[in-house]
Amino acid sequence: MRGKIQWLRRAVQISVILMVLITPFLVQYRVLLANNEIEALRRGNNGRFSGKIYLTIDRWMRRPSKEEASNLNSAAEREKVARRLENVRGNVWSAEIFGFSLTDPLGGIESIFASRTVTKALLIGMLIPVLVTLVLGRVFCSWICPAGFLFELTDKMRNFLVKLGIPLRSISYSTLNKYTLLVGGLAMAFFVGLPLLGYFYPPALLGREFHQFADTQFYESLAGASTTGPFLFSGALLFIFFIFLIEITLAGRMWCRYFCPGGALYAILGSRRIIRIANTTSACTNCFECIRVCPMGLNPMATEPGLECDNCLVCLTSCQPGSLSLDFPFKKIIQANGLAKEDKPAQKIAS
Amino acid sequence: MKIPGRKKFIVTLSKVTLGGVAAIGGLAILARTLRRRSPPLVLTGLEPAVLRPPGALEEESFLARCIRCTRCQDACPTGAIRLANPQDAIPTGTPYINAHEVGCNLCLACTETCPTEALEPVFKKDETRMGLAVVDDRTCVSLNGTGVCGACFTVCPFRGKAITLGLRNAPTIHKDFCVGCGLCEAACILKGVKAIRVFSGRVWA
Repeated sequence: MRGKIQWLRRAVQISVILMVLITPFLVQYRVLLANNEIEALRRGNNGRFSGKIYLTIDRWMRRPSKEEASNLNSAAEREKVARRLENVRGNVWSAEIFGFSLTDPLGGIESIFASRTVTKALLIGMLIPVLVTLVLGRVFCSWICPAGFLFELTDKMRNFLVKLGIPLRSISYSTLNKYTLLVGGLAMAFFVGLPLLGYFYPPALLGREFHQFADTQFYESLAGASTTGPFLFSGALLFIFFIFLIEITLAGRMWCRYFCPGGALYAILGSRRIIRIANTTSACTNCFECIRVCPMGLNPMATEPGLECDNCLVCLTSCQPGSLSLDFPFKKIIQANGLAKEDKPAQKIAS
Repeated sequence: MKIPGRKKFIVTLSKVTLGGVAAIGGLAILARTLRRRSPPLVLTGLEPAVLRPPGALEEESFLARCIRCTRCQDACPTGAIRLANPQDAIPTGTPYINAHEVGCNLCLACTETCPTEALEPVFKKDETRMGLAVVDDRTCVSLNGTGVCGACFTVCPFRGKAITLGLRNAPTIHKDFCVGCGLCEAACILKGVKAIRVFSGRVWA
């Protein structure tokens, strides 16, 4: 059961990444479909990348399914498919999924600071993420954030490079940096009147970047000629790539640990979280495996997991004696009543 | 002896302060580059100011509220809403409507989905004020006497009120009713610079 948690986390992360990558193209495809421009695109397609994207999506949407042959010939069917594609909008920064508005608290607070007004839509959008963070802690960082997933790959690459015998530095900074960046960014937003942290926040950058890319590709596919010149991607991906390189060579998980303003806000919101990692210490063998694997560089063996923990549960999975567990209120009551099954890997090892 | 602890504290404090100063300085430089204004609104100029989606606040408040989340673009059923790229004159990631290519059909889906009310909810199509259409009487086919057109009148959602036709289908814009959707600009038969163009802003509202 414990091993499956990490598979679940990876599944969630990969589905979020796929959403960020594919949604912009699906949404633009919906426009082509609703306006019946697919045929024109197929006729006018001269092998450009921009046209190929939408024709590939089209082929995929028209594949024969078991229940009904969806050939998208009638206007009603096209309308139905277009409606279905509308269910997921936006990206991780702010999304509308099946009618639920979800806004990143950092974006919302920045908007409030920059415009000096509070709007109802914003509060509704921030409600679910804030509640989830209050209960589960900084889970956005470890379970949802697409940039977090990318930066987790740097840990694997570092391990690989170290195995090859390449010396890598691992500089550590103060974790207070990210709170400074958060406060400074919000102050700048307040005085300048622009939400600036959104330009520094990798998940927002990724989402916006692929939307801009899809946008230019869409208009290129319609115009049949390049309208953008060499500017396919802006500096945002360069910024993320730069962090990626630094994390591989100089400082492991630098951004998430020390500099991410969004992570800082989630950490503050989740500081009184209900579900925490706890060490029961009865079975602990002081193997320090949890400290070695912790992506945030924390000490899960300590009694107080602290502000920075993002409940990724990697330490829980890697704990061989089963000493670490999830702590939440009423757990003792539930266990006393025999409602929760205690898994005891420690006994398995002994037998 | 408390000196090591104090030294560590001072080193940490200086690191944090330096980091903060560097971060705020970087943000300030970025703010300066991002605050480039859209070109001034001159009716005789070649390029109209950028057209924002319906319900958009005035430029200053709009830029403050908009978090560049791209949801309005995803909601747009006609593909009229586009996102600014870094090489454009407006802040990157903000939505705009290029009426030269596609106009807004006033479905108002973007105002419903906007998470920050940077696009304020508009409940009636005719209460929208995105801009104002302006006819260039030197290039308009009907006005300069080279032909009879009336394409802008045909596509106008408030035809008869926002645009009326005169002699030889010469269009007249009535600014009390024009919402600035840009359909007329997209429909204008001229290639290149159109004879009817939508200028943004609520200056005329």
